[in-house]
Amino acid sequence: MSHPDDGTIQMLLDGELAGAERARLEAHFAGCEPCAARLAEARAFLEEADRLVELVVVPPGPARRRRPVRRQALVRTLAWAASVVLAVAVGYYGRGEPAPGALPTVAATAPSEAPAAGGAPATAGQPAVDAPTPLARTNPAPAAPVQDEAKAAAQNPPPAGANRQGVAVGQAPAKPELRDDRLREAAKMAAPPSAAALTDAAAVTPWRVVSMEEGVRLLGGQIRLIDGLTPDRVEAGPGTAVAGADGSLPVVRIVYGAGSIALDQQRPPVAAAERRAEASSALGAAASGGMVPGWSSQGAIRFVVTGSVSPESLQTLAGRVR
Amino acid sequence: MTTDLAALFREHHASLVRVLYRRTGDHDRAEDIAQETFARAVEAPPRNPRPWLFAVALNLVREEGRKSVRRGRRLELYRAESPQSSPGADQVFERSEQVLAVQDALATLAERDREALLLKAEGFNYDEIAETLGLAKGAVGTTLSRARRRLVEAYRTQGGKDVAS
Repeated sequence: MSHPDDGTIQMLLDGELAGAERARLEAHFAGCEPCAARLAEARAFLEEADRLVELVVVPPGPARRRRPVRRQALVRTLAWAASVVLAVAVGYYGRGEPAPGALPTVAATAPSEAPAAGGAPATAGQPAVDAPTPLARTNPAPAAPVQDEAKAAAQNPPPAGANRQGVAVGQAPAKPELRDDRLREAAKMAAPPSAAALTDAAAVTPWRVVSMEEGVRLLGGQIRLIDGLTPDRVEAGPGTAVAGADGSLPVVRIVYGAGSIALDQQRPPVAAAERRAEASSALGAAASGGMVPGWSSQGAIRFVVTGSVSPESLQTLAGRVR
Repeated sequence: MTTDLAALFREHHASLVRVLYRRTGDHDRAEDIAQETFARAVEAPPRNPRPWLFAVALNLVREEGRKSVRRGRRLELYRAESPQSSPGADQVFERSEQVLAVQDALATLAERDREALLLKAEGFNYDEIAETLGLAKGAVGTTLSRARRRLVEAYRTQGGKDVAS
């Protein structure tokens, strides 16, 4: 019998040969040392390759429910366009003067789905809910600083008739339900801990285990994970529980290695993030992209990796956040 | 002919997502492509579901791959030991390095080799691999032989550590 080729050896190892053919091959290997060595080598590669492939396991829990990129881009564009139109409308009514020459041009080029400017003159006395676009209403990344507006509105409610600026702000393109949930959650969790809790912090943890979906909802967008690590669980806690976090926003924590490594993340409102960036720029600080050492920014998310490994390893892990 | 999507889903979803995840390294993409694959199975119920599902799914990965730039996974991993490190965290870190090294090694394989290897890991026999990938059955053994050798060599070249069985 001629020496078997590599493919035939694989077939034998994979159990694809049977009967007389298998018996003939086995007889050959018993009497041919070089082929026996090839068989042993092929078996070693097979076993090692199987072990390597088995190392790559699907992370537990559902995927992160990413929104299709095209739609995100569209929503962002619409929000941007609507905010430009809104700004022009506010400026125009604030001045109480005839429209500047540029206004009709801007309004005319705004997409029809963003009716804030077009609707403002005619609906100045209407409730804000008449105007927003269905698409923008679901946008979790509004151009306007929703949280700050919400706080300001609570402290300083507009008069019943609503002045023109109040109406215009109320018609901001995105007042997403997702954000409202986040605000509620933040308010719930950001309550200062009681004295008893402070003195007995070990007994009462501010963290609670949540589902991946709940984490996404609290974060107001896609959760970041550490590439190559399999999360144990997702937790949520108040910003006040993490050094350097925004105390008014919840922190979503991804726990790895039975609690030995944690990835904390927040999604500050756009305006707050910009203010932070400006402040850090003015101070000449935050080389890592965040106000506090250890925190980094990636898109709209701020995050920090902590754990009982070396600082260099933490840095490596932070570089693998996706 | 299998037309029951629920049964198809129960039987093949986990395996399909696993192959797609190993193929792409992206859980989101794996889930999305699996969903799209099952949606297509509803539109055109396959005669032989398993090879059909995996063939469609892997085609979707290839189509998507042509359209987008593959995310770089070349990472310089720090391997120094730290006296303050806890054994648990270090084990987690080391395992994550191994997984990334395997994913990188898989990425160096030719497409057909990689897919044949991943399908074999799901328990496909040579007939099913041949049907899924459009190969002659006689070529499957050679393909797997090359894929296994190259995977192990690529992993070792990257300094991948031995994996205990």
